[in-house]
Amino acid sequence: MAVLAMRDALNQALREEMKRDESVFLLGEDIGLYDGSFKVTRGLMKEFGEKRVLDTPIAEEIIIGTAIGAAMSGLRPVAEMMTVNFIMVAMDQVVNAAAHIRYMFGGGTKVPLVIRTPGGGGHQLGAQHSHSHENWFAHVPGLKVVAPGTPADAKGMLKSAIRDDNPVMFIENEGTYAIKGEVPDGEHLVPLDKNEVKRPGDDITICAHSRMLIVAMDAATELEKEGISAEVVDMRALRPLDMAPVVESVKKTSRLITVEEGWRSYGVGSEIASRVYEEAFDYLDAPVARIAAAEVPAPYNKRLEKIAFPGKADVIVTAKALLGKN
Amino acid sequence: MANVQMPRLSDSMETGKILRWLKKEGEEVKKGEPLVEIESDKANIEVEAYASGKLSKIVVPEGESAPIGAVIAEIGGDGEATPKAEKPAESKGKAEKPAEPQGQAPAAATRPEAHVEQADKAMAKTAQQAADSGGEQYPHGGPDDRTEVGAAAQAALSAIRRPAAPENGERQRVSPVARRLAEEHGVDLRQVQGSGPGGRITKEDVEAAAQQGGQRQAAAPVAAATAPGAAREERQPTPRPKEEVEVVELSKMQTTIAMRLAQSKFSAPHFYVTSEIAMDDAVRLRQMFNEAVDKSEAISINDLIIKAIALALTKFPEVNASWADGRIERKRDINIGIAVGLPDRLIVPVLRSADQKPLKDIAQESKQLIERARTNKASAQDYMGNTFTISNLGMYDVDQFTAIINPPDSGILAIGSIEDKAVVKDGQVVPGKRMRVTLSVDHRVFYGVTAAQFLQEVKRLLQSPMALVL
Repeated sequence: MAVLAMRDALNQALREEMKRDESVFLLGEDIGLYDGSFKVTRGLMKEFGEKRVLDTPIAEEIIIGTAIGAAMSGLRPVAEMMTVNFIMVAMDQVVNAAAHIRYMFGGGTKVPLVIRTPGGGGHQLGAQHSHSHENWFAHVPGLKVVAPGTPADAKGMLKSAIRDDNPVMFIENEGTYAIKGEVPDGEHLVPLDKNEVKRPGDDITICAHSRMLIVAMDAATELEKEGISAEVVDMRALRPLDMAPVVESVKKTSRLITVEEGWRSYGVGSEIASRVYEEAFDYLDAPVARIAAAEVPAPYNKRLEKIAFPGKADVIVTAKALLGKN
Repeated sequence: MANVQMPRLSDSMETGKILRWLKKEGEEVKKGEPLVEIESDKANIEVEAYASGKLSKIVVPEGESAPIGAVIAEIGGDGEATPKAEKPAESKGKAEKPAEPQGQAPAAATRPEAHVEQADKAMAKTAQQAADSGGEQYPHGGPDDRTEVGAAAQAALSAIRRPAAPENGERQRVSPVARRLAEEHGVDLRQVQGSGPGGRITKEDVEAAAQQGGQRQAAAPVAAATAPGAAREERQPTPRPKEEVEVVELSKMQTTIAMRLAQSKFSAPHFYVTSEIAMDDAVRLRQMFNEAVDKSEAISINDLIIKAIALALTKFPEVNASWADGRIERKRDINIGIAVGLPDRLIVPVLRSADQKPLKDIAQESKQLIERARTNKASAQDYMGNTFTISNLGMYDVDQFTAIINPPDSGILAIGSIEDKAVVKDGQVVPGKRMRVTLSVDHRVFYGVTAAQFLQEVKRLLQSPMALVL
């Protein structure tokens, strides 16, 4: 098992899948000659050539549309959107085409497409580059949505996503590309529909995905020093949303915090909270607490930005409040 | 003195190249003024000075590259050779602002600048960490060293902390899990003090109450349900004396109990009248009543008996009376004492004006009285003013017994178990539910016929129990 940065784990998954299956190809802006804006596709054009790693114009709708067509004709495209903020112009393709085609044709055709795209803020990139929109896609039947928070899951889920016969929104995060972790070599597959407990605990449950998983894990470590045992559930599978580990955890702890980097209203936490109210109401000891980005377009100002996105301190203070300790 | 560090100009940038210094060494530079032009992997960018002062030293000359966070120049220094960038960033931050030592920041949350300072500190740290990790950006996309709550948690916190204490008559706040556990453990939530926001009863509150209740189970109430065998709790065995004689000192309360009972028994000439009451309808009524109301409003057989006695007493003022030094005092109010047995004492909380209260109020109040008595939380008021008392050992599978009158009353009703018996009805032997009660009477206050008639009235009411729910 090698220790890899998230971007290299993703790179490894792409490389392995491209080697394994000739129908897998990549397309996106700056992914070839430039190795990708975040260096996820580093070296792949050199290795697989310009026919399997396509540098495209800055035209998101065309990228997704092309990928859908290729997928319907038997290829397995992996399209990169430089950030999830840029996918807006291609929403018609993602929702009206990719997500619905298999249904509308009565299963006569399928769309084995992966759209890789990072969200997340904290880099002073302003309101048009800093948001997290996984909940938009998780709202749509026909799409699968995953958002891994560790390099191992990133590799395993990307490989699974490429092999899946449905369109998969593969949500990455700019702030996680450099985090390192052990990654199993070779054939390592992580299911797209299974969430899991990343850290066991007894007093409180914290749900988080993507970069917020790291924030939650850090917060749990701090809380432990103060005698609070937090269970962290990785919500890497957002659609279909695997609630089993959350419900099980809440039945044990009776208290739940959801953490997400996107906005709070109509967010991932809202959905999780609703499901918990439905499936574990009689086990709750307090309302579900949703921690999320401030409801403003992400500020450019670094000081404002700092307080607009959730951090460890938010989770710690909220956990203590839920436990009546502050 | 302030260090100028190689800024991170794009997410994929690892090092930056100095294209052009826009100020010369020794030149004055103002905060915000363009200072240096840097080439990143994406673009050439003019970088502004973050501090004012003399550009005392250019560390990285034009045409050379440096990793993110590396010191590329100094502003306001003496121009001496710069120590390497390994120096912790925080100490540099302090050197930058000697006038604002961080330790003195009062109540950080109340000052808007607190966030600014923290962010500054964080940015300096980011740059340092980036430099330390060989140009890799900080793993989490920025150091997560903010210690104050940001906007992200504000909404969550206000939602958690929102509830104010309930107003009078407002519904008691109980968390869902607390409600469920209370039901499981048979904890009466009205007796539980909530420790959560707005007095919400939490899981821990109920667990604590259940634990106390569990310990109390051994001290079964004399007055509870009357189903035979309903209360065969494990009795805490009293250890057998090790010496030939073991002396047990009485508590003050035990001394009082002993005195009063002896006084009653030896001064009031007791006589006893026993009657067997058909409880089939009362048992059925209770069942129907409890099916119709919320679990928390359930009634016991004991409550029906209290109500029956109270109603009977309205017709027998001679029973609701006291012997008072050669005279008889008849009482207007009908206050029923309920004997509650505990291992170390016998106590009799009093349910006032029982004749005027509907059954469900009697049930609620007696539950509370008994609970307060058992948990030692009863006030002196709770024990005062009894005019008649009941003692119920029905749950201990007792056929019948006689009780000692509880002063200043002149009557006490001892209640046995409800038993399934073969009874004769219309010449047929049929199953029936029968309960034996024994009335102890102070013969100075009223006599046998009155006692029998009073008991007949109690019996009539319990055998036609619809009158009790009116």
